[in-house]
Amino acid sequence: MAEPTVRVSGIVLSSLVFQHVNGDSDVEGLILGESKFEEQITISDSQADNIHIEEVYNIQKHISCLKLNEFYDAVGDVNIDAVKKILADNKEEDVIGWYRQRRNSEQQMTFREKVVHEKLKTSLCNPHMIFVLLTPSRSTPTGSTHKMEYAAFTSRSRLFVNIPVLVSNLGLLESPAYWKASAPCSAGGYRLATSRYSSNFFSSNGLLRDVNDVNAMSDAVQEELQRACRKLEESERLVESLQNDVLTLRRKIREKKSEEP
Amino acid sequence: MAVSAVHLESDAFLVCMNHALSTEKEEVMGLCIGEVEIAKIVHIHSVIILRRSDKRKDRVEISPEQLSAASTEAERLADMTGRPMRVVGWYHSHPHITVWPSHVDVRTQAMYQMLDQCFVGLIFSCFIEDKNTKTGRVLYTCFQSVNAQKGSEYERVEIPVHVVPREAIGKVCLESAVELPRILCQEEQDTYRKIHSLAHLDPVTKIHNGSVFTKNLCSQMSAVSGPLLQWLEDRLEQNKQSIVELRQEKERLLLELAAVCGSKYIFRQLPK
Repeated sequence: MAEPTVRVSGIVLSSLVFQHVNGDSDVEGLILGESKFEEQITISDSQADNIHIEEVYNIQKHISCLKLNEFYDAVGDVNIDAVKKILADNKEEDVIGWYRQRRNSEQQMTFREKVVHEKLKTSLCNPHMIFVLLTPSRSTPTGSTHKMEYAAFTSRSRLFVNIPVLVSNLGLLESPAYWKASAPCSAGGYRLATSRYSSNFFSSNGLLRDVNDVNAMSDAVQEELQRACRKLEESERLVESLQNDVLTLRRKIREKKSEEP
Repeated sequence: MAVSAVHLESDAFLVCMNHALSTEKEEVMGLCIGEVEIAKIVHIHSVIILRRSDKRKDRVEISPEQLSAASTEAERLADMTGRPMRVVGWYHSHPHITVWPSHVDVRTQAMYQMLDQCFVGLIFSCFIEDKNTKTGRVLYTCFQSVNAQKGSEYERVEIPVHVVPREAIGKVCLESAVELPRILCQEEQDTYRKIHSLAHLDPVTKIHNGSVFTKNLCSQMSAVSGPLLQWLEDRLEQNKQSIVELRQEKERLLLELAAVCGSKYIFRQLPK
């Protein structure tokens, strides 16, 4: 069997770290995404046909719990109603795992986490789930250097194994080189054939049609990013304002109550 | 020591981390905007993502034009926030390599300190994996440079760095985050423009180069823009949920406050 892999984008991993640095305590939540299992057959002269299953877990987003132990109790039993509440409008079938962030801790699952993991698999009827553990710590006594370690675990026959976490990035995608000069070819037939069809590729501004189209598509994506950014910014300010209001009201209530005889 | 500590706002930290994780093939860099507070604490409020003109390994120098543009941006932030913002540092990434600054980094930092003794450097080391335990690792460090006692000209000085919690993401940091895909696209368009303007390229070469450009832009959309847009939309949905819950909580608290104030009124009215 091929080694399973977890894939996560840089922004989602950064967002997980961001969430943790904003709190004093450990953080946990659910992981949503897509898991794919593909059969791959390799044939070679030296050995018999090799069939292996490629497992890939794509993490697309995370939903944090407001507090620890929100969806399970002291013995690790999962409360499916609590899970549904955390998920809100998200679908149960999109849950591919859960995560926890523990400060200054080892990269090992605790017994309780293992129990919760197995029970979550049963509750969500998903035998293939991952647990992602993030453990930030200080690397130097001065606090000048900090480390965040992350790993994913899955259980096979109740044994937990580590799965590598791959951060999707531009470096993973092939980037062919531009040609700065044409290969010398003086064959008349070659020039004739390529010239005959070149107008199919080029538009009136001299650029390739594909280049014009992909530029337009990229511009459209940029516009969507700007639009989403503006909407998110408005909502961040509103959340901030409401949080301040709630804190102010709580303080006033405390003060009023303390004034009572 | 010129600087006693660096306080990095968590939303600026998010932008830096996302930028560092955008590619494992080359180092990325940017500038830090903020202010120097009493007790020589450098407070970083936001970052500006920069293009690298020289993409050779370990060449993360910032051009005078980029520093000037960053200063202009800092002034804009100063107007917006009413705080004395300026360029206070730089950051860059170390994909697959140690978080410690190289001798080139230390020298570069020393040069910046000649202009501003409070200028600080941040390095994000990423795409590190322990093959045995399959554990991934991201590290970040903060440093300045001092004259070396002997031997090499400068040496690194550790500066404590604290990420300051900030649950809501600021406008400036959100704008910086979405600058990344735009900068990547511009870089690619500039490269393609230079190539396309070369003389004596036959149609086959031009078609190949156009395909390379299309492929690279698609990679950027797939690896960077798409996930970023997804994250923005997901966070918006979560915020909408939070807004509903916060409004309900606020209503409840207003009623409770009214009840407490009402009960106080009754207490005052009761005969002693």
